Amino acid sequence: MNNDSQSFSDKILVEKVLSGNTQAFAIIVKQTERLVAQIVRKMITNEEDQKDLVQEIYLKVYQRINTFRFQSKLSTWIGSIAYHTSINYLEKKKIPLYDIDALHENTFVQHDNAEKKLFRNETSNILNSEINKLPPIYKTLISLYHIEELPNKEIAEITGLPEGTVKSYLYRARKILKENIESNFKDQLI
Amino acid sequence: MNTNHLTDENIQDIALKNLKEEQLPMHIKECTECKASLKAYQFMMNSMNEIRPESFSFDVSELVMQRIKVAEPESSSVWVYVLASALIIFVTGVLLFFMPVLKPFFELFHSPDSMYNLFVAVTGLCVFAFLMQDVLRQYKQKEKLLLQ
Repeated sequence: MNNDSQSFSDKILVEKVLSGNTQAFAIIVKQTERLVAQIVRKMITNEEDQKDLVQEIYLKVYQRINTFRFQSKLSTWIGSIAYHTSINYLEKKKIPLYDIDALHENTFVQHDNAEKKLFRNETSNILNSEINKLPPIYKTLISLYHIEELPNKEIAEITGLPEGTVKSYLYRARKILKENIESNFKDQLI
Repeated sequence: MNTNHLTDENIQDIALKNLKEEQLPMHIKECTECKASLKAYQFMMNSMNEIRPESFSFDVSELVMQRIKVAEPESSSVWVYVLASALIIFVTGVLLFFMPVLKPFFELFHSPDSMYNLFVAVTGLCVFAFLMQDVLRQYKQKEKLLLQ
């Protein structure tokens, strides 16, 4: 869908929600569920917490939809709410957002699991498990860029980080990933 | 051969196809080390495209729509009007009941000195404006917290 028709469709949906049509909101939920899952599941692993967060995110969207000014795509705006709500949750739980040292400890602890997967020769599974060992911000950026295939500009809008910072975090995250994969699975994968 | 290796960012840019063929440095074609690093990044990025997107193990629509229905304000209907009427009757009743006590208070403002009346009115307005501004500030703070 191009930008104009996307914006038009966003406008129609928002107007319907504002006029009290909850079915229109259900459509918004369906359309943005994948992006929200990409953010929330990368940041929070506990399923009960994921349920609470998803409800909190969409409740915020519902209550604040009258403040949406169409300066970005509706999905980007919802992604931004999902990202900041998840960050707030992690901060409340005092979970480090960028901590690379924690990452190495994590890699070491989960090495057995990764080895089991290696025997099944599931490259993408191994890579996914390596991504999941990255600090929350890095793994979210990696999945938004490489799996959701969002451009840096849109990721910057979602995260509220400057575009240059997004790029530099992505470089760093890919470097860490490559180093971890090389040190753990070089013979088997490459 | 040029031994100045490419930076990691440069290699990633090549793997991401951010550079056109003619922009590729000669070094990458000659240096086995950089070529190996590029190959590793290309392999990694291609594999990332095959990762299945995350999805929730529960029905998001159902969960969210239930919550939305609970959070929705009750339809106003007749009860709001009944409540508003009862409140108006109550306030009027209270005012009428306390009128003998309130009368001397209102008489204070019947002073012949208009400067005095003006002073009281302006002070009252200032206090009211200050309180309203404070309420508004607190509301905006809460709104900002909600949106974070």
